[in-house]
Amino acid sequence: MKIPFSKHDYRFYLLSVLLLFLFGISSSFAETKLTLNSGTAEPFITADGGGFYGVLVKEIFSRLDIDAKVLRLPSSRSLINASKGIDAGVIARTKGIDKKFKNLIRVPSPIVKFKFVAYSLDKKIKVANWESFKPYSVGMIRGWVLYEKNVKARKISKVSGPEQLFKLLMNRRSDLILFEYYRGSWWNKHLNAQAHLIGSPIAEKDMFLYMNKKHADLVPKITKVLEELKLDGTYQRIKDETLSKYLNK
Amino acid sequence: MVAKITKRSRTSARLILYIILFSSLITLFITLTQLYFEYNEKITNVNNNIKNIKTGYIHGITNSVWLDDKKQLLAILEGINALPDIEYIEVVVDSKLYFSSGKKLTENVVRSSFPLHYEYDGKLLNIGTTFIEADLSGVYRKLINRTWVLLGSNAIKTFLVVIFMYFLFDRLVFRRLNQIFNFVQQHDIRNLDKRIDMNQINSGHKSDEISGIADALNIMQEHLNLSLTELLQLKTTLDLSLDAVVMFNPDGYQFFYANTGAAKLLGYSVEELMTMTPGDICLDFGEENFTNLINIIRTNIEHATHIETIFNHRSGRRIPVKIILQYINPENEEPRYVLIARDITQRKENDLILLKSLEKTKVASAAKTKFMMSMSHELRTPLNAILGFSQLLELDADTLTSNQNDSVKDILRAGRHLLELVEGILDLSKIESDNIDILFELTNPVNLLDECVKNVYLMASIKNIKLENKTTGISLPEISIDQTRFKQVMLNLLSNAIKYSANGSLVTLTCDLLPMNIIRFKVSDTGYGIKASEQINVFTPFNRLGHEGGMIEGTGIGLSITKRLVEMMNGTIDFHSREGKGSDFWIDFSYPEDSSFLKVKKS
Repeated sequence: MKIPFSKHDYRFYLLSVLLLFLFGISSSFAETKLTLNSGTAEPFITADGGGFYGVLVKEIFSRLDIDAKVLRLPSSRSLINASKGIDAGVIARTKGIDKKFKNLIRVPSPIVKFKFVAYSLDKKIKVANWESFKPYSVGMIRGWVLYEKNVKARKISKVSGPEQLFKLLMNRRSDLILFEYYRGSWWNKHLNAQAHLIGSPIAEKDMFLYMNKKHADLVPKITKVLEELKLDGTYQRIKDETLSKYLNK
Repeated sequence: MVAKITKRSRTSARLILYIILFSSLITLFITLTQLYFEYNEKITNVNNNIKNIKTGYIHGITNSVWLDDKKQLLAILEGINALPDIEYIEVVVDSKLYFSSGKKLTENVVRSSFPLHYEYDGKLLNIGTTFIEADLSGVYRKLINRTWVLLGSNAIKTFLVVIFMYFLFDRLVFRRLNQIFNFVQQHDIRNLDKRIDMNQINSGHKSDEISGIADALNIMQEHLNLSLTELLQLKTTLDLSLDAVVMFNPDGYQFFYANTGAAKLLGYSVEELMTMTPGDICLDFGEENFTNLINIIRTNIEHATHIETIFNHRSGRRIPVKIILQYINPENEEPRYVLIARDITQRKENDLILLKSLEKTKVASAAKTKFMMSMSHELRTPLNAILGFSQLLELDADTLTSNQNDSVKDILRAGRHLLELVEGILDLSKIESDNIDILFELTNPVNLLDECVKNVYLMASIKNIKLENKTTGISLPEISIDQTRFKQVMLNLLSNAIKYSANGSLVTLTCDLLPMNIIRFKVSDTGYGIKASEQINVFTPFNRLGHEGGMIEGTGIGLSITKRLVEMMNGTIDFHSREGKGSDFWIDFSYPEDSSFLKVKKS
């Protein structure tokens, strides 16, 4: 007479149940969704959530089995939303804003390095430090504290955004303009401004990902994954695919 | 004149006052209503402004807050703040003031708020609240100005309406009413013949209610005049009546009216009588007696009494009076007593004389009756002797000559007539002196009637008179009579009928039952009848109704005795006669209710 369940059968079923249980857990992890934001624009983040930050965030959080996306917001709103917990975190903020926004926790590993540079239609103009702007008329975006604080120039024109900034240059109402390297390259190409990068970056600043307190447990994990990405070349690959293609050659 | 003006002025003033009061109330009500609606309109406008701000600016405010663009937000808020009535606007984020514009108000303010919603990442986020304050001071200021304008214009309107109304009423009503009022005021009882001048009242006006009033007053005046004339006539009649008439109230009995008759009778003036009571003019009307009398009058059916009493003249003379004292209690009038007194001094004196004469007459009558009774008795004795001897002589007729026989017959006839006369006088005397006895017994009259007819049968047959007795064999009730006197009565009636009827006539005896349990015995003849002029003396003694000295013998006292006897038996006698046609004489008796006859009849 045949026994309905043999000893092997029993083990097989037990294993199946265990696998199903684990699959269920992993499935439930994969279903977690997070929204992050960024106050920066192209090429770091595009309107459809792509760009450097979009791809990088997806990569980081997919390694943590989290479905994450990045939305583009006005600068102030991005901090407010992250601070209030409307969004899980904010990307590309300088070190130290967590002193003002107590709900934010910085991921220690920088997510990108901003390079503050100058563009001009005139290749002959050379600048090396803050003092070298003095003979020129300079354009800058209103509210960029670094420039507003340090630049001494013959004439300073402040505009509301990148497009106005490049228009200033293109209309020759300014000898040179001050902007961030990657974004400047994107706008130069986008507006076909024919501007030239003048000298080397005047300043550089690491930009970080900040997470809301609610997600404090994720910060070490994100740090770890980000380090791994940098080590395994994924970070560079994404940077090349999303940022380097806009750089002036 | 002053009173007239005052009266008119008061009504006008009241009218003006009422119009002003009413108009003011209406004005106030209308003003308040208008203000209320205007206030509502203003408030609605303010609310609409706020609503428009909500719809027009909420997107911009929300975006500015979302972008944290305070500059943009300031521009929007300042724009809103510049709108009419909007004094203050603020945006609150996370329960903290985010941004504001204008000055916060403490009073006369309408506050409104609306949340700022922003759709982000598929969710609707509440990113703050906007508060708007609208200042109502301007609205109130406008309303106050409007109030003055409305009140002022309405006051002018009211004033003009009052003036117009006063003019209208004065012309249409007051002047005409004043004319009527003047007439009525000057009017008194002495000039009831005056009338309101309708031409003056209707001057320039159509016939209306006021002319109707004047007409009605004129008609009333006419009726009053007529009534007054009648009243004065009645009063004059009453005043001048020879009888004394006084009236007094139930309370205290003091006279409130006395006529000149009363004044003359009692020797007081009318004014003096007004202070007096019945007790002052009559000793019998002492307080207790008079109150008893009054109570009797008030409780009896007639509310009146007739009494004779003595009044005291002012001089102390006593006046015998007959009075009628009556309680009068007409509907809608005060109850009162009227006392009518007639001086009966003369009548009393006459009564005294009459009484004395009556006494004398009674004495004389008694003497006469006594005389006649004794005379009759004295006459009858020798008369019976004469008749007895005459009858003896008549029996010996063969021994007498023819002339002697005739003389005997004459003696007998004259003697019988004389005896009849004497017996009649004797009967009459007995009746008049109440010396006759009536023996009542219940009797069936049929047999008595039959007997009477038989008794006169010979007498009728001598004159060839047909005597018809219709009572033979009929059923009659028993009546209470004296049988002897009844027979005497019936015989008298039958013998009279035969005596005063021509030869060959018809005499009929009938008996009828009348209503009210009356039985009537009637003797009818077709004889000579009685002259109308003589019929009044039918029952007068010794009156032969024109047959004196005639061929028919009689004493003239039969019907007198018959009448007395019938009345003594509680019956009545009457007759009907026409000269040359005959007479009907009848006597009526009542028979008892429980008569066996009736019982038989009913069964």
